Amino acid sequence: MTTLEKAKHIAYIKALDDHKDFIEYWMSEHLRMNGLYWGITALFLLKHESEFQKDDVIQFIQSCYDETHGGFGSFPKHDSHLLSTLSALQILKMYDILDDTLTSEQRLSTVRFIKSLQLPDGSFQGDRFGEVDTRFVYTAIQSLSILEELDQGIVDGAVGFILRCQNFDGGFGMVPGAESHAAQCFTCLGTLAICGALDKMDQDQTELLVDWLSERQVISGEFSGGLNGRPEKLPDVCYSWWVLSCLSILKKLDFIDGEKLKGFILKSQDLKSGGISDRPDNQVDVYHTLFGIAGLSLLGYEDLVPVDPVYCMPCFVTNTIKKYPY
Amino acid sequence: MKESKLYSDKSLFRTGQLLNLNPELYTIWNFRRDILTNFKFKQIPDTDPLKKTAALHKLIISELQFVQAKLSQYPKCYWIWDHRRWCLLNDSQSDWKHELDLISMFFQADSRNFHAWQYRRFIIQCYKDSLSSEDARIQVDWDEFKFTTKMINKDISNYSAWHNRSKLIEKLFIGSSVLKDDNDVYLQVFNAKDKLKFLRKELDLIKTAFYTDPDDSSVWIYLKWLFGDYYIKDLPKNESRKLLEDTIKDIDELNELETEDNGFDNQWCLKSDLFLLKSLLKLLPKDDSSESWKERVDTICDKLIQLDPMRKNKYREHKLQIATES
Repeated sequence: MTTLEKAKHIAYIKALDDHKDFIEYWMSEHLRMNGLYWGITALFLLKHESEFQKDDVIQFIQSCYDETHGGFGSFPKHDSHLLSTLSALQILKMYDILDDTLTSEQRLSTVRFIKSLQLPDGSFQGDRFGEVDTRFVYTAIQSLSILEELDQGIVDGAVGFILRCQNFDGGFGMVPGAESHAAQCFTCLGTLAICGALDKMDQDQTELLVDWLSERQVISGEFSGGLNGRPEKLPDVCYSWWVLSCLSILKKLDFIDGEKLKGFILKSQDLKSGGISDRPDNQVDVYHTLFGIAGLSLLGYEDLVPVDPVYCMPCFVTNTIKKYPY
Repeated sequence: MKESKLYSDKSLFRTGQLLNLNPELYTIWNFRRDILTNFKFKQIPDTDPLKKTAALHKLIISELQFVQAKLSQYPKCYWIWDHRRWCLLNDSQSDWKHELDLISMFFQADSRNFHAWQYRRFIIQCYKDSLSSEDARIQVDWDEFKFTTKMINKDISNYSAWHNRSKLIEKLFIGSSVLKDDNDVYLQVFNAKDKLKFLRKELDLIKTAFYTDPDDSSVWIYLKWLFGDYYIKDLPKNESRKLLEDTIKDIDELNELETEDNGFDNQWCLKSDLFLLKSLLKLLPKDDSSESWKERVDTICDKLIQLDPMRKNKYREHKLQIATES
């Protein structure tokens, strides 16, 4: 079997930030903060986090702070959003510079920003314009967990909302009524796990969910062994994270074939220039690079830092977060 | 422009240019909404309420045309779908029927696009909210139910349609109003709240579907739901038992044909048998013929371990469960 080309992936991630002249760089402003989180987390799992200059990272994050609303945008002068706020907090937490970087005023207004986005039904909107999605419930809850600012009102509302998103097949969707999707299963299970509420799921429903998740591993075709996100869809490396993290949270990692999945992820590497793509022979990107490596970490691939399936950060980092209920 | 809150036609034009380059720029969508709210909407004279509504509607229509052009290019971009939702919620004269036609166009390109499906549920909800009588609202759900039948008949592998069907069935069983349509069996079943009759009818559809493509997982996952608590707990035990036994027989017949053709068992037949047998065992009194059923479960697990080795640990756990229960 091919091995994980660690050195090439490190070089690939490092080079991403050197391409400031390219049009693609400016075209991806909207997810730069997420991109930074994907790259840095991958480096942490590869034990090479020092490849990025910590000071540059702090400076960038500070420049993305939204003075008007609190929270962080994806790029300087962009509006704050829950998605980029979580990524910023995760990066600071991983480098253990959260308290040194945020002033008490910034911390306070970030907490206020996140809490203000919870709606009466317990869900969260991503920003003031009202888009609701279980992704935002997760990002809000994890952000507050990192800041150790969860409280019963917020948690009960979020848990209630998440449980309403569970479907006939045991899976979870974006909002109540929406089709089950593996990434949404992750955001919902992750939220329940952070809130200490996994036992709130009905047991028969949990059994259906486990079954649904394990059926994501595709048997036939050229991508055999890979995981898909919904029934009858093609496998994609990112589901190595979304599905696997769920199975790990539910303690059923052995319900799929880890070796076959490793093979699929490793085949999706660019052996020449580094990086991992969604499927073998496609264009690589930093998103799939992280989720491929994180998947391998959950599978116990040699010499990778163990990743926390709930937070998608190294376990040694999440061990330092005070867990709810406080 | 954004920083100085310069809300003008020129700013609006500029946001359009930027979004043409990159529709993922969520901050620009935000700015565009701010311009519309704080500038364009306010330009409309307040004098005549009717004229004001009409002018606003006209403005939103032109915005929707811009959104539609973007969506056709990027049918999976969250921000664009969200902007369309925002537009419709700001217009008291939104044309819901027009939106449904638009969605059908997206389904022609990709009948599993979960953005389009979610948007459809949103539109249906808005449309229902605009109706004054409960009778009219439930009629909309009934039409949606028929729409899922249509989509499934077109392609039984459309899991998104099966999912939506499950949601609509729950609504139709709750609804207190009487549905009116031609002499439709489903309609009579919903009016009578007769879950047993519904199951008999639905199982006919399932049977056609699994004979059409026995390797398609969508139908099999849906089948499990039909034998879950939602139905079973409302049926007399003997009826549930008979339905389960009949369905197992049907699946076994299909599996025999499949085995003749291919030389080996059909996995989905076995997986479904396993689920149904376990449900049956829950219904049977302990002293009944349950031992022979248990042996069948055990044999099926052994076969599945051979046929579907990626999930062998799951089947081993089933074996263990059955063994410890006896």
